[in-house]
Amino acid sequence: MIASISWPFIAQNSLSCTSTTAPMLFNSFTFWIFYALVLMLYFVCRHRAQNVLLLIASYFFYGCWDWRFLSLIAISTIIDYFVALKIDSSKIAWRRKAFVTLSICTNLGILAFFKYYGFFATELITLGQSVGVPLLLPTLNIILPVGISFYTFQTMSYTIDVYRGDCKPTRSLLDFAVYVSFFPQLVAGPIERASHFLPQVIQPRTYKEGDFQVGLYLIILGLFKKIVVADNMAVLVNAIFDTPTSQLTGLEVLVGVYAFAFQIYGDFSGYSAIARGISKWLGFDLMVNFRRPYFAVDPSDFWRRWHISLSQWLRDYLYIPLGGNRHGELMTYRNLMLTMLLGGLWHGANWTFIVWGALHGALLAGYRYFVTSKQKHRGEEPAQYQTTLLRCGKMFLMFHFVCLTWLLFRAESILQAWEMMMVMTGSWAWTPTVSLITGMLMFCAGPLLLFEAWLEFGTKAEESFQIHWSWRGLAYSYALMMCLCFPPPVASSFIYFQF
Amino acid sequence: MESEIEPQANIIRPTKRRRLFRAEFGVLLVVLVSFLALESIFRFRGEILSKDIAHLNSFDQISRNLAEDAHPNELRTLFLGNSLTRYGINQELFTQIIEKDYHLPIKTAKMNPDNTALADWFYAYQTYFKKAGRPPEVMIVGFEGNHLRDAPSNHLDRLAYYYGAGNDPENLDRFDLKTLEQKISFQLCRVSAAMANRDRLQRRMLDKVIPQYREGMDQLNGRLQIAGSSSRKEQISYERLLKFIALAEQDDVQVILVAMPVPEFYEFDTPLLEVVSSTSAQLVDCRLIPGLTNDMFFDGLHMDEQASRIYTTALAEKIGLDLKLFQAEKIAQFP
Repeated sequence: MIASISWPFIAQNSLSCTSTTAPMLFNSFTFWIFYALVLMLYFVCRHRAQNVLLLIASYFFYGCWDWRFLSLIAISTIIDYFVALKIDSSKIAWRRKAFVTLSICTNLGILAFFKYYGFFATELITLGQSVGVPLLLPTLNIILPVGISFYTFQTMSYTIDVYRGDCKPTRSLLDFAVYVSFFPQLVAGPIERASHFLPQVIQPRTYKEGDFQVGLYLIILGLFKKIVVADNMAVLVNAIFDTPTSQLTGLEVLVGVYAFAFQIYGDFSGYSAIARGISKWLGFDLMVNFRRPYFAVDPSDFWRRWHISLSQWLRDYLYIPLGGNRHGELMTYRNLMLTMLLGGLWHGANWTFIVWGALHGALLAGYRYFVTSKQKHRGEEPAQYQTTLLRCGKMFLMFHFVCLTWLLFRAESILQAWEMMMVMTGSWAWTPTVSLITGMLMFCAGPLLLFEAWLEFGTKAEESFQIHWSWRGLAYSYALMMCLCFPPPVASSFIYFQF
Repeated sequence: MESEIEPQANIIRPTKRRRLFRAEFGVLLVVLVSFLALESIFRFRGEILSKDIAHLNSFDQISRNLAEDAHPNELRTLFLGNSLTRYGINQELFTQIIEKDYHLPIKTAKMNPDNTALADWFYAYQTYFKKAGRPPEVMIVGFEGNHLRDAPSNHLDRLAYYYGAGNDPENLDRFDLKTLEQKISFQLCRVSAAMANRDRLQRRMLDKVIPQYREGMDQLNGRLQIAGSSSRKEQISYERLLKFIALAEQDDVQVILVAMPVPEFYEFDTPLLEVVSSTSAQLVDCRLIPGLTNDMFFDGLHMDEQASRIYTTALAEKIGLDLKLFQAEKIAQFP
């Protein structure tokens, strides 16, 4: 009788990716066969050959998503390679500026055309119609190249850093091409900085004693987050968000949003963890992209823990150039709002993302106002010591603020988000759907949350490697068994590929 | 990055790599032992975990019993289907009615793995009856709705491990394995019972630990079906059914397709009727059986014991004469 329970319809509604060919997902057997082959060849190659192999493997990896867009990566790579060399060799300020502008325009141009043209063209046409001015803008059905937001930001940061003198350009096109297209982080980050990653490409690989150990830990953790947490939540989240709002109860929307909070976290941090793990085995250190974000106590803390590579990118290349907090409170709020609005837009061409960014901007500005006025009032720095209870209260509050913004992030439209919020103010009946989602949250995301609480409140991650191998073996067995025995009905793509 | 460092020929040495690996040797060993334990449980004690596993493991025995235990004058009849057949057909009653009312000695067997359709039955027939050289004389296939339409199996994993489908790569490629990922997974499932049965543990455990798990799933599925029913358009084809009937015809097996009763009425589509009219298969309409009411389907889909008796009786009466005629033809053809 158990077997008669089916998920057929829900499965068909899982997130679809934008590719036209069979993609290579980290949670697929195809990827692991590919990776094993690359790894075997990699270990018999010398350094330069390793880089050639990485470049070929990366282009093949991306080609499996959509070979047509390989040209975009190649264009971005070649332009930024030569632009960086020109910037470095030029001593005239305006020429240097012209070259960096060329790089920024090229990268943002590619991004704008493929990611935002359709959205803005449609919005402009609608606006024109509403004021009685018909606009003749061609509406193109453009396919979004996977990972375009990641690699364009990465290459842009390189030329800007060279322009600023923060990093020297490489003379090797091969090394630079590997930096841009390195397959573990090509389609969903972390967005690596040239100053951190390029030297690793240029120099021969060095392996430390614990590299295999750390890589294994990250891969297993990442797979658990993706397969057990994110994909299982995805099925339920899609079901909630695809159901007409009028049929939902307030509690169903609430648990649906909780489920999405863990879906997006498991999905993206899982991808980042696997990317770091497989890079570790290849001899590379990728930056940490997530640090237990749902344990954040305030908005600033959240952005120091969530998608760290993007937060830092936005801080260094947008917020600080805008003036940061150097020109008074009002300008700081403006800069925060602008940074977060653009950060929202980076996630996708939809009003929901823009409002999501605006909400986070408002949260950051509001929090800043709160903290500064409190400091003025008390005339002292905020207390560093926090009782566990107070800290937990803050975490709870922050988590719910974040969840509120996730509702906008996931909704198909502002209207849907608004309707769902309205539903939450209504009936709070306990239904079988609430029971199911709550149970699945506890079963799938609960162990992850406990593990992270253990790391957050006590043990440091590196200390966990000191635990006896038998216990670690059992923990890994549990995680892998869960991946094996509790997969979702259909393995879905990583959410962040679409950004 | 202050300056570029020239690359040096410095690859990792085998000894060092071994040391890297050795640091986690114990951990990997524990993981390996855990997997072997899980594999052993499914391979050697699967019957205890699931009645369906026990049933799947008995396929060979079922086909052997039907072929070898039947008296020469008994009509060897196979009921092929899924849990609808399991709950719906009362084998003993069917045999009694046919023997008593139609004076036809009959030997029956039931093959009814859970959550299956023609995609699975096709390979089950091929492996356990056709290729084993033990075809039945009559095959009664119980279906409802879209069970006979061309669609990949719901359980490619089980198809790999239990149905011997790997021996028919042509049809697998044509109907079931569309992506490289599916092909790799299929090959893994051919050798691993744990892989082939992994979803069983999931459903059983979630059903136990999450209150209202089933009701929740039903509620979500129900809502989504209503929301999505208008937007879905399905391409209907019966290519596999044609192949299935052709295989049976090669072995002189009479195929009887029985449209089973379920609470929600369903229509026959034209392509199905065309398949039936172009082949030797018979279509028996049992969608509406007098005396069957919706409250006799205890979980909204499967018949309770009383319903099963009503349905079995009706079916026996509908096909009894045909079976008798078929037996007579067989005897007449006998050299």
